[in-house]
Amino acid sequence: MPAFFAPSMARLIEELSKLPGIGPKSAQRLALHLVKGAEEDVRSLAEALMDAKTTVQHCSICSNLTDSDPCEICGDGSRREDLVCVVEDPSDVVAMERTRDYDGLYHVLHGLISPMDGVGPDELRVKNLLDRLREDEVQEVILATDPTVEGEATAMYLARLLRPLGVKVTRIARGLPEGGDLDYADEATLSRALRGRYSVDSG
Amino acid sequence: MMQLQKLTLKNYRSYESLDLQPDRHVNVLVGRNAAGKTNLLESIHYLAAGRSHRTHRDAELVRWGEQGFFISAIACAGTVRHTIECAYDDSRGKSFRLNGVAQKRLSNVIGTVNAVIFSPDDLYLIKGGPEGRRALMDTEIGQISRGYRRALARYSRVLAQRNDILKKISRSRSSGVTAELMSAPWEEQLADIGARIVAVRLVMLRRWGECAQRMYERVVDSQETLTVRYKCSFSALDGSLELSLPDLREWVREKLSGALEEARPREIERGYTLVGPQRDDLQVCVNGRDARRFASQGQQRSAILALRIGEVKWMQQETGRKPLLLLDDVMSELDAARARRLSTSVGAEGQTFITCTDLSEVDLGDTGAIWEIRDGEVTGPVK
Ligand SMILES: Nc1ncnc2c1ncn2[C@@H]1O[C@H](COP(=O)(O)OP(=O)(O)O)[C@@H](O)[C@H]1O
Ligand SMILES: [Mg+2]
Ligand SMILES: [Zn+2]
Repeated sequence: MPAFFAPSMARLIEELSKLPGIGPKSAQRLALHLVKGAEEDVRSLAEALMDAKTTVQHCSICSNLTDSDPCEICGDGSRREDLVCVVEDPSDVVAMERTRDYDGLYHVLHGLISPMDGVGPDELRVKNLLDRLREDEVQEVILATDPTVEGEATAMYLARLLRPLGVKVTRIARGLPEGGDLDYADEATLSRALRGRYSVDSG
Repeated sequence: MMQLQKLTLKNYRSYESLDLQPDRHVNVLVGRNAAGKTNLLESIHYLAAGRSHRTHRDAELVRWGEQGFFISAIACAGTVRHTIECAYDDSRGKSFRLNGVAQKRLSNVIGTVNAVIFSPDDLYLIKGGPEGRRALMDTEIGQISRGYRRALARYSRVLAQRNDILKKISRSRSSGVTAELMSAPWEEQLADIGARIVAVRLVMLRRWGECAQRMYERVVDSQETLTVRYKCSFSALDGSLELSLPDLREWVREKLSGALEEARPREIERGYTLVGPQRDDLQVCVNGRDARRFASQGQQRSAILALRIGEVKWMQQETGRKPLLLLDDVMSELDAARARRLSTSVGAEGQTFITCTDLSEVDLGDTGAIWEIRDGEVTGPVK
């Protein structure tokens, strides 16, 4: 399909269609929309892309995405520092924050264990979680990965790994729809899940 | 009762387009060989099971020379009316709508329509490999339990992940500790979800087996016995018979978990999982002996008939309504007396679709419609 477009357009369409959730048709629609619009709009978008890419970094404490290190949450000072909630990715932090029920810290793994996709613990931010637990004053780790099979496996793996460190490890309760994504769960469900967390000591 | 009020097909197999408003009781589809009778039953069953009973390749169902097919139906389950639509397209795959709303998960759609199909190909249930019998259990239970469908989907995902790990461990010869830490989360889930699956199958089999046994006595032969046994790949089942579902689940979980641990060295060597519901099977016995090896052709056919009617009765017990009955060329295989007993056992209050090549095979009674099928076109009702 792109072969019928001018080469510059074809390139844009191809770049856009690499994005998750964007098929060739949507990519084409977006590309046409962009070149039709005002030049300032396009420039502003391009700058925003580059700006985000060059400014955003991983927080050296929790690995969440941030413009300044440490991130706002880790640097807050008024939050409980003895409580760490482990999540899959930054959108889960946003979902948790929306509940307004949680005032501890986070740790973002940036993925879940999935052998078929070549993702093991080494591909995730697991090592710096361990370092953090050894050094800091953390009393409880809440495993809040999705209830998918990969989310469960990641939680079970971490529970075993953390056991020797002597911190309390809990798993948020299954108030969540089975197989559902954490960030789609409504806030009420998430709050309930958080309050109903249980301790993972066997396994 | 389950009732199909309207069926629409577009480019499905030999049908370019079809609009059918079936009779609420008996529908006889009469036509020569290759007229399109089985295709029609297949399309109805497709909406119930989410797949064809003849092939797992949806592309084969597309009318030759076209790019996709469409099936839709208006079905009543008791007093609730549902519109269910399925569209398949060569490039986009299949998608379902329920009452006009697109459904992301197939598991939300399956079970809206319940149907049981009797097919001349059913002999595979006795003579074929274990996959067919597992698929029978899974589609049967799957039609009535969303939890079971989810469990199956989760199980196969965990299984694939664990098999991947087993391969990697065997290739890299990683140390026992790392291997243990990596595979334990998947094993724990295999045992947990696998136990749910097996426990539900066992409970289903008790009830289904009872129904089938009764039907065998009533329709086929009152002197012989028909039994269905679960062949578990990882444990003897003695001691499980009296347990309720939750206890049974726990009982199976312990057995499976132990079996996984025991099999692990061999599994690492081979690179895949050797025990679990994906390796289990059913055994059909006539007079206590394996029907596959010891039953005559006639006994095998009768056993299958009883199993299918048992399936109908079981499904009716579970859902509180009679599933659609799709009888494909069944009557011609039975002698007159058995055909009559079959009609009275299953017919009566449910909605039935019966195919035949000759009307003399079917005793229609007072109610019902006859449809003539020729080259993918349906005319009628003739009566
Ligand atoms: N994908 C398809 N497209 C068009 N025709 C098909 C397709 N699949 C099967 N057929 C035709 O359907 C006929 C078989 O229909 P079927 O319903 O099995 O016959 P019967 O009435 O004997 O049950 C065959 O003649 C075959 O040519
Ligand atoms: Mg046929
Ligand atoms: Zn941080």
